[in-house]
Order: sequence, then structure tokens, then C-alpha cells
Amino acid sequence: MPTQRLIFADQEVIIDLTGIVVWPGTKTAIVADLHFEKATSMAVRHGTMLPPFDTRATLDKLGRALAQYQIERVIALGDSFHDQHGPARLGETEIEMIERLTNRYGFLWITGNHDPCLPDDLPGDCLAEYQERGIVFRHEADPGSQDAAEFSGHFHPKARIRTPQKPISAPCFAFDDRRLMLPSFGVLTGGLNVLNAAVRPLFNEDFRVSMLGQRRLFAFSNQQLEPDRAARVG
Amino acid sequence: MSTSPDLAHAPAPSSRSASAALPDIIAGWFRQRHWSPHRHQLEVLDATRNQQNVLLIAPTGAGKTLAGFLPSLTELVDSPDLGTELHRLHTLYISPLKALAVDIQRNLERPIAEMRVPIRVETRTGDTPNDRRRRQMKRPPHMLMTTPESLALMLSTAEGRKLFRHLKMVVLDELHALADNKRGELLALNLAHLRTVAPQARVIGLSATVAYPDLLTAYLSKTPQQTPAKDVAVVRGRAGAQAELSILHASNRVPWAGHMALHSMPDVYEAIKKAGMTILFVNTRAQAELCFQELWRANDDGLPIALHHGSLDINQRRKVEAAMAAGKLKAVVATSSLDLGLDWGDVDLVMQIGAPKGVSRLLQRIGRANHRLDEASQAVLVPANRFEYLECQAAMNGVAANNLDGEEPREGGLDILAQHILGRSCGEAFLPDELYREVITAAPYANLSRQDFEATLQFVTNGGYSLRAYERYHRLTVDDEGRFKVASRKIAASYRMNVGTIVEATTYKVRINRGRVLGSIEEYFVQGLTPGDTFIFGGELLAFMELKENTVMVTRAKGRDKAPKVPAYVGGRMPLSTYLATQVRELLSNEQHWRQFPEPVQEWLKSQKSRSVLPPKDGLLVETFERQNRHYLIGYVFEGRNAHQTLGMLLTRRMERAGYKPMGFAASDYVIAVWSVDPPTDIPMLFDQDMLGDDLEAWMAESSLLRRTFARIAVITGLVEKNIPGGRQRSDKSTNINTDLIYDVLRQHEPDHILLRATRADAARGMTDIRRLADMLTRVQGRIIHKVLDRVSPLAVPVMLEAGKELVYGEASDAMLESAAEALIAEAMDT
Repeated sequence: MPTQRLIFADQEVIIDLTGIVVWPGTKTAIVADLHFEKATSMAVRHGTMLPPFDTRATLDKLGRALAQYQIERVIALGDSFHDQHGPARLGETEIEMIERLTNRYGFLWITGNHDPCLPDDLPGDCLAEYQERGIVFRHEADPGSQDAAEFSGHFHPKARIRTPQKPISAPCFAFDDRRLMLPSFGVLTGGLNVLNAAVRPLFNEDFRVSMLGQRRLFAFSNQQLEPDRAARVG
Repeated sequence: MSTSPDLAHAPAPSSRSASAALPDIIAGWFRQRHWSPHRHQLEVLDATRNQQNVLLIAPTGAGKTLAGFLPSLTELVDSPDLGTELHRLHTLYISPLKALAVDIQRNLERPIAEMRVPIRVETRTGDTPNDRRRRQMKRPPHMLMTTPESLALMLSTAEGRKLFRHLKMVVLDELHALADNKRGELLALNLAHLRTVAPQARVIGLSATVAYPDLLTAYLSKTPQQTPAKDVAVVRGRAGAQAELSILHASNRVPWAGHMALHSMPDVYEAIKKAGMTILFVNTRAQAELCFQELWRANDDGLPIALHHGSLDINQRRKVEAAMAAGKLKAVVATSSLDLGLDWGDVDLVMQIGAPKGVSRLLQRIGRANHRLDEASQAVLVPANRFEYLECQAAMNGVAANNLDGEEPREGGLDILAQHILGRSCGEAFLPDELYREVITAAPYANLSRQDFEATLQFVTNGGYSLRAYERYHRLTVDDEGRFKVASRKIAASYRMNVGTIVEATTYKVRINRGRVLGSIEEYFVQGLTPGDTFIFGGELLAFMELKENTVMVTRAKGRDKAPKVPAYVGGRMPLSTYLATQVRELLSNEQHWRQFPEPVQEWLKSQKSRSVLPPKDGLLVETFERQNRHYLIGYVFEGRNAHQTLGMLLTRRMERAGYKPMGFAASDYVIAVWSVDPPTDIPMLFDQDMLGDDLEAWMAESSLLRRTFARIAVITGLVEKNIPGGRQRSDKSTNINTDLIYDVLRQHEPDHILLRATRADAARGMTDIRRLADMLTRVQGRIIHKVLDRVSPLAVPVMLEAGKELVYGEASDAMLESAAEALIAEAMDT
């Protein structure tokens, strides 16, 4: 199954193999950690010359993911740009691609630690946090919050599972009855195991994951997962 | 003289009076020892005196090392500089092994001391402390022993280049082990650089007997485009006595399949008992561990039998080598870790356990026995299964006919060139014109087009992407005169941290009882361990306790509740050489040859003949049959495991399209087996030549093989860094994830990028043996024999028993997740 339906804060949401969440009741799609201009950021900061096509590849993937659904609005959960100067480094093609998307959908840019403030000329709204119908949208899950429901990104969750052949690790959605954490969407982003001490305590004991396979999602309970090797026995 | 056997040898008749050719000090030294120089040693000397480069081809034990150093010693003892405060590096010695550089230094110091000449010899490797490196720059020794990587590092600094200005001689040892791989490409480029810095230097290459000597002469030449190279003299050492080879007839039955040859260990043990000292060469480290265990199980006499392989701690290996040299051992089980290097004592028997895979490799190993040239080396081949029996026989025929196999010359990789260009920019600014002219004097790059050179330079400068995103962030800057120079110290530091061509898998140290380090094992094996698991390493049964940082903590395990694991290693197995494959086909097709085989092997071949047919010498036999609701296709291809792996992928792809519903395949060195839901009928279509066109492209693009190759190339070219200045090594994991993502983005947006071209070239030439497949498909067109059988044929049995079967396609990971999900469901339903 390329999608999975969940009831979350009494709302029906769809998690999608591409890594987005769709909230049909409000015609909204949610995406996390786009990390536009990561390659150029690395070039500026580290002198490495990764292929500078990541922004267009991510935008292309986003466009296709959104086009599958009847939606009118997109909420990006922060770290949409890999660094604050990212918007200034966008090429013409990338600017056009962003404009095409922002013309078609209303955009709400939640700020993240990589992009704490976004330029004024970026089409759409910009907020540090947003709430609607009891669901809070923020970049990083707030461990102290008592919100009934929360959507977040930030950690780039991945899960690792032992199979009869070999362990397989893949990006995943992670959720319990209050929190839903999205995988990172940017094409050049890595991930963090959900059993890592930074992520695990955010969820209750029954949390589940949905791993992004090649053709479908794979649902597992957290008891079925493996930590990364160092964490497992350390 | 057993401490320096390769340097000084028993008296040999010389073609002329040594004293006429040699300075008094050296002639006197020979006289004192009652030796005289070998003919080839003097010929090397003559050639260098005529300002020629030299290729010396000689078997082990012919005094090759002394031949390599005699010209330098001769010039140095006569040098007016000697003993003055004028310190100039005269000779640079380059060895593929750090340890060998150290040994050669020790062995040279002895005659130098005996001649009482103040010649200073030092080593410089990754292990050399910083203060000694600085001193070597300020006050260079006369001779410096180093490795290709250390040479690259020295040349990447201005003071390093200064060090080599007065260089007179370069000695390349074990050239046959360097010339046809990436390290050899890196060395060739640095040799070209060295010749720009020191045009007066002559180069001496020392090599074992090889299949393509022209490749090595070109490698040593300044003008590799010319054949034969005019500036290289070829000197051949006297051939040793022909080796006496035999195949072990095990008293146990020859097994159908498997590669470990454990069934033969009782007979091997008997052979060891009778011989003086034996080296048992095996093909993989896992096999080394198992054979060692098995031998000790049989070792009722408590013979001193030791283990030597590349994952064992270096101190442990040195101990074993020292014990060999001292004659304290009865036998050593070794992998290719003992293929190269010095002689460690009087070995009088070499046993090759498992098929030899190539004639040259076998000869190299046989050469380890009995280093007295005039006596025949004794070697015994121990086949692990029936097909290996044929292969051993083929190898024996090959040795008798002196038919060497080996890699043909290959074009140098653009990844290595990229690394070199960056290194070159760290030392001194260069003009592209000048650098191009220098690079094409390196044999692997003799045919490099200016276009490819420019593209590589662009890549190093700004990533070389069509999208000009990095115009402002160059790694190299260009001055007004068009000279390229590294843009920052940081980039130069990062180059120096990452120089080299060997991208090794991340390994973990194995530490016993929180004390001694036994060696190291690869990350992926560690991943499969849970506390309490037992495994065999270094000849001991160990229990895994925990992982701490990069160390695997173990204790000695007792008893054997369940079968212990054995660490396997990536790339441990060599494929069957083309020459041996041809020979095996010949042995199979001609019944005349069968009489030499033991009864079970003969029976096996005879029943194949009656139940099916024998694979023809030139055509291709394909059998199909049904078994347990699966339809099997067996192709007797004989092109080696790597080629068969690729063929398996391509065949299943094509069978999918033809609607046969393929399920999986297995590949051995000899045979490919594919199974499917429906019977494959159109065999000529499946093996059509166009298989290597679109199907190959499509498969390659998706394959994990290309991703792994790309990951290696990304590290070699510095696109991603394995070592970060000031930081620790990144684990495989993060390198992998990053390069996979990069690969996908690059493939989508710039499929002709230089890194992807380098990746495809690398994958096609090295790992996938595409050319062997292409040659095979051409050879068998119109000569495919399709036998439809009602059951499995005798020759097909071994591949049916092969382990390591492959699932079909790149979606394997989904399939694996599904099977995990299913297993979990089953588990849940059970309780």
C-alpha cells in the first residue's frame, strides 16, 4: 500500500509513500525538512561540490507528490532551506519552480533551526508554530507540551528492521496517539534512528512506524525495530 | 644467510669478472663472502650506467632486490658527497607493502655496514613519526623506502618536491602487483610528476614473471605510446627449476560443492607431517580460519601450525613471520597476505587449498617454496569439489606450459586522475598544458584525451556540473597566467587526509578480555552479532560480549552449543581466470583427459555424458528441467563468478519480459542456474548478443553494484570525505547514505557527469567482467545446445547446492521487508 490512513485528533489523515501527510478534511498537505540548497550550502561551508541539483530534484518530487491529491494548501514543517542564505542562492529555474507551486497552493512555511527566518519575498505565510482544529504544527516536537496532537519534523526519522536476509534501514513516519513525526523530504538528507535517545522518549510505549519502501509503506510496531548497532549494545 | 635471503645468494657463476664492473668496495664485499654477482644483476647495472630504465623480470629467489640496489650502491660508494654534509636523496624505493619497505631497509643496512660505507637508509610510511618526517626533509637519507601513497603525499608539498630534485634512481618493487590496478595508476601519475621534478632519475622495476611484460615496460617508460619502449632495457633473471606439481587424492570422497576443502584436511595433515615446513595457501580469510580449526582438530602430534591473514593484528602476523624465518613452525595457513614480500625461511612444500583461480597467482605462490633456484619447488593442489578438480588439472597444465594469465593493460581511471590533479595543485601551481603533457607520459593515461583531462580538471575545480552553481566556490583558483592552485589550506589538508585508492570497509578491532587486540573484522559482520554469539577468529573460538566505540569486546568461548559464525570478507574471492576457464572447457569436452581424474570424478563426467551431453569446447550447453514445481535453466558458461552474477541479473530481466516469471538465480565460477515459474523455451533469444545493450544499461543504472562503485569513486575523488581533518573516520553507513542520494540526483540531472562515467567504466572493467560476457556471447552465437531434461543432470548438481542465491531485482529490499513482515505475522499467529 502506497498510503496508510490514520485517525489523529479525531481527524482522518493519509500518510503517503513519498513522505508527505495529507489532511483531506482541510485539503492540506504537510511536508517536513525540504533542505533546499543543501549542496550549495556544503560548497560554501566545506568546499565539497555535491551535485547542485538537489533543490530542483526535491521540488520536482514535491510537485509530483502533491499532484496526487485534491489539496489547496501546503504546510512545510521547517528546515525548508538548509541555511538562512539558501533563498539567495536559488537559481532561476528553482525560483520558477517554487513560484509554480506557490501559485497553485497556499504555502505556510514553519521556521526551523536551519532557517529561523525566511525572506519576506518568499510567497506564502511564515510562522514559528501553527495550530488548527486541535493539531499543532511545529518544526521540532516539544517534549513538554500538553497539546492533544502535534505534527513535526526535524529529526529525519529512520527505522531499522531485521529481515531474514539482512537488516534494512529506511526513512519512516513515526507516530503514537499524540504525535506524528514526518520523514525528511529533501533528496540529500540523511536520517536518525527512531530508537535513538533524542527521538525515542518523545513517543509513548506503543508508538509505531511506517517505513518508506521502494513501492509501498511497511508498518511496524516499535518493538519490532532495531537500534543502530552502536546504540544496541553500548 | 637466512636472515637476508633475497639480498645475498649462494655463489653463482658470473658471465664476466665482477671486479671489472664493480667499485672496489663492493667487489671486495662479494669476494669476502665468496660470492659473485649474477649475470642479471650486472646487466641491470650496465643499463642504468647507460642512463636507461630497467625492467627486471625474475622469479623469487633470484637476488632481485640486490639487482635493484646494486646500481645505487655502486654510484653511492663512489660519490664524492658521501660522508660530507651534503645531504641529497639518491634513491627512492617504492613497495606495495609498508612492512616490505621496512624489511628491505633492514636487509640493506647489513651489507652497507659490512662495506663500512656511511650510506644512510630510512623508511617513510604512514607510521613514520612527524619529527622524523621533518628531519628527512631537512637532512635527507641517501635512500628512502616508501609506499605509493606516501610518495603522493610528499609530492603534494613544495618541500617534498625539493627533496626529489637531485634524485638519481627510483626502484619499484613487486611491480607486477601494482601495474594493473588503481594504486598502480596513482603511482604512475606520481612517477610522471617525479620525472618532471627529477628528469635525470632512472627507474628500475622489479617484477615476477608476468603475462604482459609489455605493459610493465610501458609503465616504466617516459614515452609509453611507443612500443616497444626505447628507454627501457628488459633484463631477465635465470628461470628456476620447473616446479613439481601434483593434485592431492583425498581419501575422503571429493564433494559435489563447497569451497573449503575441509574433507581433505586429514590428508593435508599427513602431508604436513612428512614435509619440513609447509605453507598452506587458501583463497579467503574465512577458509583460512576453518582450515586452521580443522587441522588443529587432527593435530594429535601437537605440530606447530600457525595462521596468517590480513585481518589479524600486525604484531601477531610479524610474530608468525619471525617464527617461520627461525624455522620454528611446521606449517602456516595463509591467505594472499603471504603472496608478496620477503622470504620467511626454508619452505619446502606449498599446498594450494581450493582451486588456484589463475596460473600466475599459482606460480607466485609456488615460488614461496624452496628458494634455491636450482631445486624444484614442491607444490600440491587440493581441490574442494569436483569442478575444482578440473580447474586444478587445468592450472597444472598451465604451469607446465608456462601459460600465464593476467589483466590486460587498462585505461587509467578518471577518479584517480582527479585525486592526482588536486594533489598536484597542493604542491605548486600548474599550467593545464604542462600537466596534460606530463600526465600522458604515465602509461595508464597515455591515451587520455585532452577533453577528458579538461573535464576532470573542471570537476576538481568546481564540480564540473553543467549547472554553474559553484562558480563562486572553486577548489582551485587560477592566476593571471592561467596557473591552477589549491584554493585553501583546508582543502589541501583534506586532500592529505584522504590520499590513496583503497577505500576499505569500516572495520572494528577485536579485543579479548579487555586486553590484547587480535585483529579487526568488518562492520557488516559486527552488525549481525548479538551478545553471546560465538565466532571463529584468529584460530580461536570467541564469544561476542559488547561493542564499545570501534572495538568488539570478546572472551574465549567454551564448548560448541551451536555452530559458530565465521567472518566473511568483502571481495575475498577471486574469479576464475579466462585462461583456466578455456582449459576447463577443453578438459571436459575431451574424454582423453579424463583418465587422470580419480574414479568419482570420472564417473561424474561419464554419467553426464549419458544423461545429457558434455559442455562443448566452443559452444554453450544450456539444460532445462523441472524440479519441485520450479523450472531450472543451467548455463555452462565458465566465465567466472562475477561475470555469472551479471549474467544472472540480465537473464532474469529478459525472462521476466518473456513471461517466464523468474524467481532467482545462483552463480558459481563455472555455471549459472536460473529458476522460474514457467519453463524457459526460447533459449537463443535469452542468450542473444543484444543482451549487453539496453538491458545492461538498465540493470547497471539500478544495480547496487554501481552504487557501491560510485561510493568508492566519490571518496577517491574527494566528493565526499572519509577522513575529516580533526575528526574521526565516518562510518560506512553515513558514507553510503550520502553517496546513494548523490548518485540518484546526479543520474537524474547529469547522467554524463564525469563521476558517473568513471563509475560505469570501473564497474564494467573490474567487477562485472562485462567484456568476458561479451566475448562469450559472441563465441556461442549459433552454437547453443539446448537439452530439455526430465531431471537434474550430474554436472548441474554443484550449482544447485551453491549457497548465496540471489533474489531477482532491485526490489529485493521490498521483498526482504515483506518477508520480515510475513515472518513476524507468522510468529504472531503462532502464539
